[in-house]
Formats: sequence, C-alpha cells, structure tokens
Amino acid sequence: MLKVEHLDVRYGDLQVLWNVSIEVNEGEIVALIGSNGAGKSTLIRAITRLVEPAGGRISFRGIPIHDKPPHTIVSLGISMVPEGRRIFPKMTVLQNLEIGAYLKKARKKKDESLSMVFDIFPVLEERSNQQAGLMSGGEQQMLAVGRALMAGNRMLLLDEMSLGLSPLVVKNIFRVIRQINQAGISIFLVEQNVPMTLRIADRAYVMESGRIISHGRSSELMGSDHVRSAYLGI
Amino acid sequence: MGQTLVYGLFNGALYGIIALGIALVFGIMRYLNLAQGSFIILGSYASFFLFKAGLDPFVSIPLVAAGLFLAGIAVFKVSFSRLLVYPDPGKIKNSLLISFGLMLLIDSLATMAWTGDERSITPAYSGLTIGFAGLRFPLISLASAACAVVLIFSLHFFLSRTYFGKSIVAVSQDFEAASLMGINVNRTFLVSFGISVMLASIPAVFIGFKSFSPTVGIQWFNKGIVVVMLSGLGNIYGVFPAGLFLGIIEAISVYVFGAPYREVTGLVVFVIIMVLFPKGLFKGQEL
Repeated sequence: MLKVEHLDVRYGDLQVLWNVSIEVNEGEIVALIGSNGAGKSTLIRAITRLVEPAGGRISFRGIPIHDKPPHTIVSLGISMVPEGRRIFPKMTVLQNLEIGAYLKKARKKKDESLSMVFDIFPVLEERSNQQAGLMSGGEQQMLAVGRALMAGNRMLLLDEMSLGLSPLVVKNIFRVIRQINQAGISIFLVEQNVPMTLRIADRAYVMESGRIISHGRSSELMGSDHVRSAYLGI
Repeated sequence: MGQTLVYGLFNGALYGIIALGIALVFGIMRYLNLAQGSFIILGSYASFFLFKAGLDPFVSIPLVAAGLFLAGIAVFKVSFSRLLVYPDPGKIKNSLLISFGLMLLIDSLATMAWTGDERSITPAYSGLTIGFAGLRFPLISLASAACAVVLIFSLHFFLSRTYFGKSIVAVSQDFEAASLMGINVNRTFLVSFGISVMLASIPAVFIGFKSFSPTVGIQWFNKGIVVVMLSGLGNIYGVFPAGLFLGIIEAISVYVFGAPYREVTGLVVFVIIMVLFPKGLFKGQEL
C-alpha cells in the first residue's frame, strides 16, 4: 500500500536518512522504532513531503508521491497526526474536526465521520465547544487523531503519539490505535515507547542514525538481543 | 463638540477599513504590506476615471474590487510568494523591504501616468447632508460607514462559515497542520493576499470623495497601521473598534487643541497606549 524505496533526506549538508526502504501493507500496523534523533520523524515527514526527499522514491497504491505537495498526498488517501499534536489552538474542538473533513470527498461524509470520532473519543463530544488550545495534552492528542480520521483516509501516519503524556493516557491511546486498525485503517507509527509499540504492531523497523538496521515481526524483534538491550532495557 | 465627534466617528470607520486589509495579511501570513495605501490610491484613480466615463463610484466598487484583487494576485506571485519559506521574523522584515519598494514603484508610476495633481470624485450628491438631532451627517460618510459595517460582517461570515474561509483561519494558526488537512496552503496565501488588496477598494472610493494624489497612500497606511497596532497585531476583529477609537481621539483633540494638532494627539495617545498595553487593546481574539 505504502512503499518507501532507497530514500535519502538531507538538511543542507547534513544527511539524516540513508537509503531507507519500508513497506506498509493493507490492514497492517507497522511501527518505526528507534532512539531520539535517529531520524524517525524525518521519515514520516518525508512521506507527506513536509520535508523534501533528496533521493529515492515513495509510492502509495502504486502512485509515486515523493514529488507531490502535502495537500495532494492527503487527498490521495494518507492522513497524518503530526508530532506535538498541532491542533488549531484558537478553534473549538468541533471546528478542528470540521476542518479535518476539508477534502471534497470527506465533506459529504462529514456527519458520519463525526459520529465515528465521537464514538471512539466520547470526551471530544463533551468538549465540542471548548477552545482546543485550552484542553489537556491527552485530550489534544485525541483531538489530533480524531481530526485526522475525519478525512476518511485508509492510511494513517502517527508521529510520536505518546510524547509528553501520562502512562494512563498513553495506554488509552494505544488501545484506540488498535481499535482504529480493526476498522480497516492501515497504520504506520513512529514511537519512542518501544514496549507498548511492539505489543500492538504487526511488524516493526528499527532505525539508528538514519538507517534501517533491522526489521521483522514484532514478536521476533521482541526476542532479538539487540532490541532487548537497546530499547526494552532487559 | 457633537458635530466634531460625528466627523471623528466617520473618519474612524474609514481608518478601520483601511486597517482591515493590513491586519488580514499580517494575521494570515505575517507580512506587513506597506503598499496597502498605494493600492488604495490606485483604487481611487480607478474609481475616478470610471466616474469620468460615466459610472457612479458606488456602482463601480465591484469593478475596482475585482481589479485590485487581480493586482494583488499578480504582485504576490512575482514577489511576496518567495518569502513563504522564511520563519516569522524573516517574513516581517523581508515583506517590509518588498512592500516599501512596491510602494515607491506604484507611487512613481502613478505620478508618471496621472501627474501629481490632487483630484477628487465629485458626484452631484457629494455635498449633501442629513440633519438629525441638531447634527449634520454627510450622505457620503453615512454610506462609507454602512459599507464598512457590511464589509466587516461579510468578512466574518466568509471566514467562519465557508470552507475556504475556514481554511484561511486554519492556515493562519498552523500552516503545516493545515496542509495535512488537504488544504493547498500556497493557494490559500495567494487568494487571501488578493482579498486583502481587494479590501482596499472600499476606502479607495471614500478617499476618492475627499481628495487624493499619487503619494498620499502612505499617509492613509500610517493611519491604518496605527489602528492595527492599537487593536493588537493579527487581530482582525479588534480593528474596527480601534479605528473608531482613533477617530474619536482625533475629534476630541480637534475640539480641545484645534485642528492642526489632530495628527499629533492621535500619535501621542497611540504611544501611550502602546506603553501601557504593548499587545494592543483587544489582544487574545486573533483570527
């Protein structure tokens, strides 16, 4: 479904991604794990072209997308929850969700999507008239996910969802990721919280210093000595 | 005193709509457009020549607006669009440079084309007034204030009710997140710059009724930017009340100190308010 091949990304003279190839199949949860500064967020931002790739190709359902602007990529069917939530702080919760359904194809199904989002996150319905920037971090994260779902896309990219949230909220968010996946949405997520991530992901890629150093089924990675010592602290 | 206040309020309404175009661009893309005054004067010339050709200045507003919209789009494409990659401080500084050059360019071209003579639009109804409660209300000023109110309500409706308007608000709050909603951010910037230049068409007509020459644009811009600062940078809804406030201050000054001190008093009060409330009078309700 989503295919990244031999991707290089540079920030000026500094190369941050080297020959990165990943693939996400229909219906999967695929994770990208690695430590801070490994280049995980850069990869996810390159997929939606918030950063420009220096080489390689990215395709979605066979269509090359590495040369297309972000809004086109979103309209082709990839939604993303950016790192740091990035909700529209001065809009209400409901306005945030409505703007999530900006795409023409999403506008028609707006009410349907809205009731689905309220189903997953009842708290957003209670808070629908609150100014989004005044909510707690966890609620803002739920809003960010809900807003991304409003587009009705079948592929969701999640960037560092658990950052800065309490363990209880993180647990809840991961439960929701699984729930969204069961509704048929393919998920590619970037995470520092390795134990939780490997528990819900089908497969995972491990990134170090801008390179993919290993990948496999989550159960295999959980058994690997390197992953256990570097990320699980066992 | 009452009569002076009436004129002050009408002037204030004009300041408010001048400031609207400046505030909209700043609120959305962090550009300061020094050339907004020159666009207004361009609009005044358009209105003037259309009037000479037999078209009433009120009837020609849509034509002038459309012309200014296209001019804004063209100018944005060749110059301002290149600044979008910079962080906010870079946008402000570079847009000041570009728009200063643009202002000189427009003013000089206007002088070459139409000479530096002062002109004004003088339809048959230009001197008419309506008497009410012992005060005189010039017909043109009443129309000006009515246009200002209509303009502000339609802008509010556009930004809060239409999908394109909402996308403008989203882009102004976080353009990267907006692009992830499927919003074409560059096109939003382009069109909203066009709209802000188009907003110059209303003050253009009413300055046309007073008097104008190619180089007075900056004086009106000065009024506008003072109002924008009073209102709080980026806050488009505070702009109209802030405009009225400046108009009233100037009117009181005319009454107390005499007409020559009008500008000075306005600026002194502006400085005092900036010292007391550096974020403006209406902070916290930005776009």
